[in-house]
Amino acid sequence: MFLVKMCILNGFTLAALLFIVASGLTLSFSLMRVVNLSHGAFYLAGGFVGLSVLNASGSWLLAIGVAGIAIAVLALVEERFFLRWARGNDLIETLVSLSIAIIIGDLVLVIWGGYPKTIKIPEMLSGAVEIPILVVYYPVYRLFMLAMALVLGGGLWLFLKKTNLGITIRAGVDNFNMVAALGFNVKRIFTMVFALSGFLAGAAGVVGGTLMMLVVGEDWRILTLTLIVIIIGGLGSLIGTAVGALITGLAYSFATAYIPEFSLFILFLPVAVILSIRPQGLFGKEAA
Amino acid sequence: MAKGKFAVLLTAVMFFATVGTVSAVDEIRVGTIGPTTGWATIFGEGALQGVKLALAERDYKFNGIPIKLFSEDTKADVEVMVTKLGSLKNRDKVHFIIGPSLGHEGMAAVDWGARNPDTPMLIGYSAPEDITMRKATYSVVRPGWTGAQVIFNFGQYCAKDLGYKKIIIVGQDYSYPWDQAAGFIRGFLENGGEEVLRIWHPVEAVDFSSIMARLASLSGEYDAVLNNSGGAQVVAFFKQWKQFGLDKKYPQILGQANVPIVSMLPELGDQALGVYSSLHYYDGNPSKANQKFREDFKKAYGHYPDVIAMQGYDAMRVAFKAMEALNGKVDDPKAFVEAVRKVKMSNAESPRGPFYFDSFGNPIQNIYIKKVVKKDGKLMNIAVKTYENVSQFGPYANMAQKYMAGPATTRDYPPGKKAEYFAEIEKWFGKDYVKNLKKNGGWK
Repeated sequence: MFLVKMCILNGFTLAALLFIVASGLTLSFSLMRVVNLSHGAFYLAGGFVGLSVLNASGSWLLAIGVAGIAIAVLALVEERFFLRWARGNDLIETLVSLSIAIIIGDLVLVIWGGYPKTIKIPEMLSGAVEIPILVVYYPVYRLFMLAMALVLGGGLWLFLKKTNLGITIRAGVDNFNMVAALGFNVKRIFTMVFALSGFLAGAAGVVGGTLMMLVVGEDWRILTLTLIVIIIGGLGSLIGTAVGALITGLAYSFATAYIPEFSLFILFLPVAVILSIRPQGLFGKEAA
Repeated sequence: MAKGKFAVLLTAVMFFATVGTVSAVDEIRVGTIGPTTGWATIFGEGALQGVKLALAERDYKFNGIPIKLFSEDTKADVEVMVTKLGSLKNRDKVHFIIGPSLGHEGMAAVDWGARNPDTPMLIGYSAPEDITMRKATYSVVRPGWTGAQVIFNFGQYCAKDLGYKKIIIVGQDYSYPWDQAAGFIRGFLENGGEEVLRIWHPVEAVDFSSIMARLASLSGEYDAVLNNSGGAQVVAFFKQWKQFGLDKKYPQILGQANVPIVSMLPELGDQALGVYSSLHYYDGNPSKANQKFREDFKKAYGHYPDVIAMQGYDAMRVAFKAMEALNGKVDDPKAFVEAVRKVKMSNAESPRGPFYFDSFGNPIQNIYIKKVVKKDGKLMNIAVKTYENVSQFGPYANMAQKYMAGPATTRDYPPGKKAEYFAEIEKWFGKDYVKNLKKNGGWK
């Protein structure tokens, strides 16, 4: 019983991290219809920037903020000077984002080196607390991640549903030409959304680097995981991303507890099943 | 006719005179190979820095003959490595090669070595035992280690000195950790341990939280946990270990050979204090050779070296000793390999302590049981026990053929339960061996 309770908690908190990373990717995809393969590199670079900021200032919150902003700028540059130029050509857009991912990965290696690094958990969030109903001790930091994902998910949902900008973005998803014809500067919206997506990836790097570690190669691992999440949930759907993250997190958590040798297999199993039954993902719109 | 004979004689006299007095080469060309870009950079880079340090000590010269270094990058890819080995041999015409660093690279390199016996190779950090066992080839010598060699005695130590009966090993699911687990199990069960439970997770685990939960639920039954991963996975494991409060349920973590190496210690922090592990080198060794090596390395590269760099350094210094024996005549591959295999390093010569090669080309060397302590505010490994002259066959040195005839290590071979394990070794090593074990209460 103890193990089952822990696995549920672990699944939810891992899902929280996955959601924080994947929400940025799904956001940029929903508008631009290009899978940004440099998202994992954004995550890694964000984590390392955060580490340096933390070492210099001692503030973990500042580290998250600066990492997010730094990567948002990077994303802005990628969109404004590279992706915009290749707009509409899927193959070139994918290759551009892939090349940028490789370049960022190598730069990280040059600047921060190849040794694994970790970000210290802030004093306030370290240690464990007893969870009332389940009666188990659980790490505070993981609970904090869960809260963060809920706030972020709620915030993004409100933003997309209730603000003018959000409504424009959703309209752009459904009918790109019409939105442009109505006089909106879709190009600028693209850039802004892409920068926001970069901000989320960079901040997620600090959160993830604090939970586990940062090391060259982590960029591709994180990219794979986020792709799993959004393939399950359906490209471009926020609720789908949340559900995808939950399925992935719970499957991985139970698999590592009971059959750890097969945890990767279990991780990819839902992807295979969903792709064969519903190729657009659980909440994805069918391709036009 | 007479003129012809005279010419032959003259040539012969001149040839032997040259060989006898001065060296026949005007430049010694050394090749190195290893991953110096990509995820495994630290392995290739570390070994290369060690080689360069050894060369710099002699000003890149041997008896006045200049030494030229050719470095190739494998990108941790075996295909790339085989191509580059060919370049080193055919394009750069190196006299010998030092490398590679990773397990799978080493296994492919020894195959290449078997096909190219005229290019001597000194294996760097690569540790699979078959490089110098079932696949051993004369021209490939390893001044390094095998995974199991350094951990046999650790199992013995955990059973005898620490008094543990039941242990859990958590590790990455591939051949190197399997070998580590196998060596540990042999030492542990043959010396009084009762059970070893192995938990394998993917090489790059996403999250350890559920493994931590399982370890917590098993803490009543088992005495200790051995972390059998490497690199970044160790950092994540230690971090979650503390988050889930396992430091209060188990004694200090036990580590496989690579867990508390120098480069990892600052990241692990105080969480690493008290961690036991074993290796053929420890950074806290007070010997003069080690202190000099550490300080010189720090001066050259700005940080202290770990075992990877030490092996690059040792490999080059073994080559130098072979050159001394040959008076610099490195252009005869056969003679060079023979000289390398005869090299004996003393405590004053190698940072790891004395070693010499067995007939398979792997060192017989000291194995240290290490413990992480804090000295002058810095974490380092000290030796709590030294096992001298351990071969790659460990306690089975006089049964090498039987050892190699046994089944290869897998994720669950040898068995982890005492009864099954003893049935298995009786099959391969004979009844007398088991009887002796029981009589002596373990290894002598």
